Parts: sequence; C-alpha cells; structure tokens
Amino acid sequence: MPHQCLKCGEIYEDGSKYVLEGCPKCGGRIFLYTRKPLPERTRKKILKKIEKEEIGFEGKTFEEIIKEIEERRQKAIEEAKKQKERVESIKVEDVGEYEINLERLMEGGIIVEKEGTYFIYLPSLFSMRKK
Amino acid sequence: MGIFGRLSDWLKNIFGKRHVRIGIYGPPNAGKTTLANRIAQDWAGGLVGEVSEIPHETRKVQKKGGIVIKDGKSSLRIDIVDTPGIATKVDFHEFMEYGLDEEEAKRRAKEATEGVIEAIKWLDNIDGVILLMDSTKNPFTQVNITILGNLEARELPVIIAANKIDLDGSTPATLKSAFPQHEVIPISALTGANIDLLYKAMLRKFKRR
Repeated sequence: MPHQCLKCGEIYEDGSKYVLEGCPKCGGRIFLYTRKPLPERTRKKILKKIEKEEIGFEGKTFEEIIKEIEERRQKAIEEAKKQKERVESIKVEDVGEYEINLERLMEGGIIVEKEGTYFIYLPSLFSMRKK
Repeated sequence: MGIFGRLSDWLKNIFGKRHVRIGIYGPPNAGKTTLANRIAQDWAGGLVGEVSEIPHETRKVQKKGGIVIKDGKSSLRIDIVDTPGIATKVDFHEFMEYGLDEEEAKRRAKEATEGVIEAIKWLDNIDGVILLMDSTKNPFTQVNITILGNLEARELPVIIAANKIDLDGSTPATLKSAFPQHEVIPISALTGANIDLLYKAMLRKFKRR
C-alpha cells in the first residue's frame, strides 16, 4: 500500500525513505497510508484536521509547558466526570450518528437513548461489575 | 481453592504467568492493527488484520495466538487481541468524506459503534493492555482518560505506546509527561522504530501476571 503526500498528492512506495525525510517535490512532512489516492479536496480536509489536532503549547519554558499539561489533564478529567451524570451509554442522534458515553459503557450497562426514549438492555445491567 | 490451584498460583508468583492475552486498545486510527500485524510478523509470521486510512477499519475484535516474544532467556507466550477503535462519537458523514456512499457509511457507523461495545466487553478476558496513542495528537481526550481510569480500576497492567514517532509533529515527550504514572514507549508500528523497547517492556510488565 503506498503513501500519499497530503500536501501535493505525490505517491510514494510502501516503506519509501521520503516518508521519513519529507516529500522531495513540495517538502511536505505528513503522509497518509492509503489504498487509493485521495483527491485534493479530501487531502486538504484531512490536513486541516491534523493541523487542528496538533498538540501545540503556548508556553515557552519547560515549567510553563508542564503547567499547561496539568491544566489540560484536569480539564479532560472533569469532562470525563460529566459523562457519569448521563444515564444513557449510547445516544442515537440519527441513523449513522452515534454519541458514546464511555464512562457508562465501561461500567457495563447498555442504555440507548433516541429522541428522549430510553432502551434498556437488561442483561448488560445484571452483569455490571460491583464496585 | 484446591491444593493444585494454590500450587499453580505459587508457581505463577515465582516464575510469572507464561501465557497471557494482551489487548491493543486506543482511539481509531492510532495504528492498532499496524502494531498487531508487526508483532505477529516479528514473532509468528502472518497478519492479524487489514489496515486502511479510513477510521474504524477494524470493527470486530481480531485475535492471533501462539506468539512467543523472546529476549535472551526470557520468553512470553501471548495472544494478541486487536480491538476496534474506541470513540465517543461515530458519525457517518466522516466516512463519506473518504468516498463511501451514504448507505455504506451508515453501515460502517453502526458497526463501529458495535465495535466500541465489543472492545470494552473484551476487557473482561484480557490480562494486560497496550494502550496505543497517536503521538502527533492531543493526549488529553475523553477516550484516553476514560480508558486509563478504567484500566487502573481493574488493576490491569498497561503500557502506553506513543505511536507514529516517524511523523512530523510527533511529540512523544508530551505523552510521557501527560501520564507520568505509566510506562510510555515511543514507537513507530509502521517503520518498526523502537519496537524492541516495546517487546522488552511487554516481557517485564506482563510476565508477572
């Protein structure tokens, strides 16, 4: 399966050295392991998504970065805690659109919510782990 | 517990468990199947599953047994369990961006959601976990935090593998400082960089079970 440079679309063989060195055509450093080449529009979308998700810290010193990491960790823990307040483990927004409450699901119970109606899978509740 | 059970536990305490089932967990597109394939190829030959650029390619748990990892005199027999990506949101529109038609994308979304449930259920049958994270992405996601919290509650041994260190923008050091209480091994499942360190860590961490 070949690699495709997400910036210019050039294709390189599986295991090509350019994946590590960068694309010789445009200098791009982000490659996608892809079965079939993607059109420019899709590549741009993925590239934008990757760039948005890149970690990026504002702090310059080591201490500032560590502080930022701690703040982000606390924020993520609080967000995860909020999930516990929800009763459903899976919310069906529409056909093909699902929101998964990992906290609930990991406790073992499967409760599906769709448009305010709750569907409870009883065997999953009976097999829940006792804490 | 009978005398044989006690004897077996006593021997396991001294020599470590010889055969363990290791689950590879993590968010979609972290490279779980690529890693499972690499471990299978390195130690047993053959592949575990197909990989692709479209998220949620693995929607059912895939297993490969009879893998023996060695380091000098130390060895460990493992079954590798490659699990579907764990996500908090599955939306068929995302799959349509990769050229799938609406019907196929919706089917994939449904299977991916079922895959998350299956992956979590499998935690009951697992002796240890390699939690694979993408070192180019923000580690503080609900998926990473929730899985780790649950693994800690279950007292399952876990190694965090910071994958994709071959990519530009990879910051495995951030992952290390993000989860200081866990062993973090920076690897590239694709190129095989640092993979020996992961095998050594697996021998160390999982053999005691």
